[in-house]
Amino acid sequence: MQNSNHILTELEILGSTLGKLSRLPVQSVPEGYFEHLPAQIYIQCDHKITLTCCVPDGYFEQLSQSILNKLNAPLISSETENLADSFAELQPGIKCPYKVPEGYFEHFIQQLEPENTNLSVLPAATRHIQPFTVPNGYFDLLPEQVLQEIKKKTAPVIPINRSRSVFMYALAAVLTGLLGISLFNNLFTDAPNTDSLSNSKLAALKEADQIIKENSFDLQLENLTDESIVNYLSIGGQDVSAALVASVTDESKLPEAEEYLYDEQTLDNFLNGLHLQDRKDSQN
Amino acid sequence: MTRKMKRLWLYLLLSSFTLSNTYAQPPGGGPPPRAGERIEALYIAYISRELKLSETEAQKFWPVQVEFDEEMRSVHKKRNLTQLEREEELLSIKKKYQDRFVKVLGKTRTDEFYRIDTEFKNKLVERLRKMREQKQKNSNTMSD
Repeated sequence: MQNSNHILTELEILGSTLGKLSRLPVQSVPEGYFEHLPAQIYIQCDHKITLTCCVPDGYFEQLSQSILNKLNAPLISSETENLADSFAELQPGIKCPYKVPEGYFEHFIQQLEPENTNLSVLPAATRHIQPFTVPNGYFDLLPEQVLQEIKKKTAPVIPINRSRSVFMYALAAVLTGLLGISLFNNLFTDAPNTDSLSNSKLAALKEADQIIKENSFDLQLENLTDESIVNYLSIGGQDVSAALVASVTDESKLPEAEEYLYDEQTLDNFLNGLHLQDRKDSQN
Repeated sequence: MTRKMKRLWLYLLLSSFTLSNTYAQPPGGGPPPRAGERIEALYIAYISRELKLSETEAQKFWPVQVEFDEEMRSVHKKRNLTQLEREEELLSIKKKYQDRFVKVLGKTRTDEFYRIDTEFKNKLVERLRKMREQKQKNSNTMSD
């Protein structure tokens, strides 16, 4: 180890008073202090510290064997016996410092009996007296009382609004009934679907019923107008002119064969009598 | 308006719809029938009388007849058809409705229906012819 004077040199350059101090140690140690220090410490320890613990003879020689025995030993139900054996193995020569009289544990329970205990006179005298009494028939009435208590503590019943419930059910029943009747009438009956008929058809049916009842068909037929008949037949695809000519089945109404010879206009006059021209005009 | 009242009105509204669907009746006491409706009434009366339709048969028959008549008239409205095409379509409609008419009237009375239908139209034509003859006579008398 080399002493470096760099710091002292710098302190001297800086002009510090520290740099001018000598390098002698401030504290002094007696001569040979450190040479004798370990011996002094050992001597002090040797006199003051005495070993209070001792290991039995051959303890460490038997330690491994005892550990192995404990590991390999079968499981003993009683923990006490296991501990006793362990102690016996560890220190076979050591005797238990406490002595238990013979049959102590056998008679221990008997000793706990009241007559063997040192009880006071009063508890000993009153040990068989039942301080609490039960009323007569208490246990006979007990189940009934319990049931009564249970009934009292039943959960509160919240009443349902009966009027509203009945109202809703009544409405549901009415609606279901109406819907059922409607479906039955529309789907499951052979009744006529008169809804499909137009109002004019329904009115005609009603009037037809009246005509049948009054037996006024011929009268009603005579009251029809020319135009209404022509329109009706035309809408039905009837050729009214052809139908009119074909309708003349009475030969007496037809012109005689000679008439055609006498007058070229015979056929025209006949057709004019049927007013076929009116038909053509109406078509145009 | 309380919630209960709102529900009540809703139920009444629904009930009224159901009732209207179930018990809807044709309006009565309307205007007097037009000329076409009068001839329709005569047609219905004539067919009912000649076919001797019972009330039950009439209730089943007339809805079918109305559909049949509308289809037949729709063919007559078509202007671009030839006579043959028109007759073909009319025949197909008759075939189409044959089973429905037979179901209500039976086969014999269905044939009778077609005959009576034509008979009614002939009656109208006859009536028209008589009216025109009478008109012709009246005009001749006035000219003389």
